[in-house]
Amino acid sequence: MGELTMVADAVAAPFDERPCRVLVVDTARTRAEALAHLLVTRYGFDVQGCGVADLGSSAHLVAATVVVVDVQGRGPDLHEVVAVVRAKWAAAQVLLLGQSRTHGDGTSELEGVRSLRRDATADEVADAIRRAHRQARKDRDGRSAERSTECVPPSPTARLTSREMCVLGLLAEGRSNDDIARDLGVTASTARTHVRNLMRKLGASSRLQAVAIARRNGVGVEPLGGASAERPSSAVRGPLRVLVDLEDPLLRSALEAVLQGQPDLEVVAELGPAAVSRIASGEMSVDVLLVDDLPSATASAALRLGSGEARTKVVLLSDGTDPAALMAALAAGVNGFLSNECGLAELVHAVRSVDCGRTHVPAGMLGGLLRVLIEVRRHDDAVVEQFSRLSRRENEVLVHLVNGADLPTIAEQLFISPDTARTHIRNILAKTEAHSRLEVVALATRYELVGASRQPHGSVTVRP
Amino acid sequence: MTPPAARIVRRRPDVRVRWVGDLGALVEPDGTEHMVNATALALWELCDGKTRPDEMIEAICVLFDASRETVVRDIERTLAEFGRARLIEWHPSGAAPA
Repeated sequence: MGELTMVADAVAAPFDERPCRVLVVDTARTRAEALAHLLVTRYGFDVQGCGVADLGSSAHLVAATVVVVDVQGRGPDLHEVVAVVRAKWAAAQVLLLGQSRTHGDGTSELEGVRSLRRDATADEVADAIRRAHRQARKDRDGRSAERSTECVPPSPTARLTSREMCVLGLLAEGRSNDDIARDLGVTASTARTHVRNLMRKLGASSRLQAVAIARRNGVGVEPLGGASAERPSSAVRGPLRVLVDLEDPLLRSALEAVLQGQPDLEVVAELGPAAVSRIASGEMSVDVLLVDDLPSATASAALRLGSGEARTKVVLLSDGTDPAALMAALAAGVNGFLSNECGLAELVHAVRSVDCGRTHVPAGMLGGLLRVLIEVRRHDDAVVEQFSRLSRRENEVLVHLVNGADLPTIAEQLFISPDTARTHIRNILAKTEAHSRLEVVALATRYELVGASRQPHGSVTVRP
Repeated sequence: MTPPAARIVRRRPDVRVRWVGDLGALVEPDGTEHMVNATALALWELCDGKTRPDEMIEAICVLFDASRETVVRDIERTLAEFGRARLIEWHPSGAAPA
């Protein structure tokens, strides 16, 4: 059965008079949101996605009939997550993704929980959700109607009035109540009431949280991630071409659906060795490459093409927020770094942003990265300053050292005794705090301190 | 007045940082919240009593590939706003309290 038929089935023949509400819970928030997006756009389900860490958030209290759980790697314990899910969504069917210990009938080692292979296709996931929903309906029909679950509309912003949406937009711009009152031509008291009401409807405990919820739900962000002000419109330059090269096929197809849904983006479907060679030869034009591993073949091909605006920009979707991984990625020439906790809006924003020549780094990692850059700069300046203490004669000896000359050769070339040459070398090591001739040569070469004018404030390089 | 580059800046130790998504807030002990963007919050983290403003400028220029003029203007403005809100304290270079 082809995919188009499946879509038609899902849209044209709803299988329950009650909506099939699905909550996708994943160790990685990005994967949860991407899969949710795919299930909404391709299969017509009513879906929300959230990271395991956000399970307690009020924004995710959907009256879910099916909860899809995907807990992988170094995340929390699966049994604990399932216990939390069952406590909050007692009437829902739980569907596990990627559990290895699956029985022949599709059930897993966890009692009453159905399971799917890790490499299940989107169609298979959708089918499993339909089956789980039918089961949930049967179970519910046998229960008392008094057992209600927490019921908050999937999109909290849907309950806001147009005026409240306007106020929310102003809040997102950092405006105060007085600013909002002035902009809307209302009293400060009225502005406060609007803010209070919208916070209540969003279930937000602060203005900041209200703005965050609004952003998660796309308020004031159209298209997703914010339009690029610098990139010429797609009508002038053509769509921004994105190649998604991720190991996880389900995540890849989900993110492709997310990106393809943006009016200014076009997903390049080609993958594999053929794509690598075509990128490397410049035959295939790709503006942004999204990868989950370095070095991947396609990323290496893209990064080899050199620098400049025309080069394919590379965004790394990392499985964490390891500063060392960030530094390594930037040193390798990656233009954008995302953690698997990023929202879809940030992912799309990053794609557009790197295409405009910017570097994208997760907000929470920016301070640490700047600190590392400053430390690197201080170290570089210290090295240059140490070499600046060398005398003219010591510099001459250094040149010979860098050229590979041994002690007798240096003495002969400079018309000095071997003992004098040895003294010069000892002084060079002391002044530069190097432990060996090899180290001093390496430093002098790396910082280009031989035969070049010294620049105490040379460019900072990013090193892992 | 001592030029900013020759001075160091220290954040108020009793102000907390709170993240909500990519938005941040500097929260004073009385609950007053100052909403800031990610770059401003990164700048706030660098106000450690050791890092000089010129070092902040260099690092941001490198990371964002931005013009020095723009970065200097933005950092001066942000630090001035932090100062007006009494979120930071300026000290002569090398004289910041531990």
